[in-house]
Amino acid sequence: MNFVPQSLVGLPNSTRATELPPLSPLQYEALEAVQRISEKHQLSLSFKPGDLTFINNWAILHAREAFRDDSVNQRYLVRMWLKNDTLAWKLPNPLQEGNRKIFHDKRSVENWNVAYTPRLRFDIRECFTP
Amino acid sequence: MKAPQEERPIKDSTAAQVLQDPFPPRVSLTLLQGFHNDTFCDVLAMQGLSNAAEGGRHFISSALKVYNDLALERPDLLEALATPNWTLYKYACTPSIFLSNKNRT
Repeated sequence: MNFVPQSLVGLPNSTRATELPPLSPLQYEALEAVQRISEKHQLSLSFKPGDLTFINNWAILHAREAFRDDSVNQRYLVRMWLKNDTLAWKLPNPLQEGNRKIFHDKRSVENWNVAYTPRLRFDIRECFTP
Repeated sequence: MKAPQEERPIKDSTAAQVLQDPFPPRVSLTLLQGFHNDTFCDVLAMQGLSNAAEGGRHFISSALKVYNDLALERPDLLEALATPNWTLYKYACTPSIFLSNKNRT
């Protein structure tokens, strides 16, 4: 499953490009249905600092509830995009190019931000584009 | 000869010891992020190094369950999700949301 509603409907600070064709009412309804049914079956993960979670991104949806940082308790999450070339599912054509860019493009460097500081902030669009 | 006090360059050694954090800790509220998949990656790994003061839990949900529920309740929506006419922001591709075995290479 390739469910990326942020790219389709935009975010408050990253709106859908106006040159793209608008979504149909049926498409909007479908996006809402996926969210609603996902919530119905959701499992909550409670991780403690240091815990690792690995999920098959093509089979499992994920979400995150709102959070509040104060001056002491600051949420810090390291996200890693990984691929096992032997076990990875074969992808349909429209997704192969993006996948290849992430995992097989020699020009992209590996960025590891496991060290606690300095904090890296990513542009919101960079969060869901390769 | 000792320069008079007012002619010495000003140097605050206390301040010089403090390394400037470009992103100092701040009090902030981050909104909910609804269910989604990440774009183009196979395995998503996450390690939380520290938790927020409040909230920030992660939820996961099975795409197969969503598919099965939709197949029973709203097959029309399932068909819409499986139709490859979803123009993704910035990409020149129009993948479907539910992927099929067809067109795999």
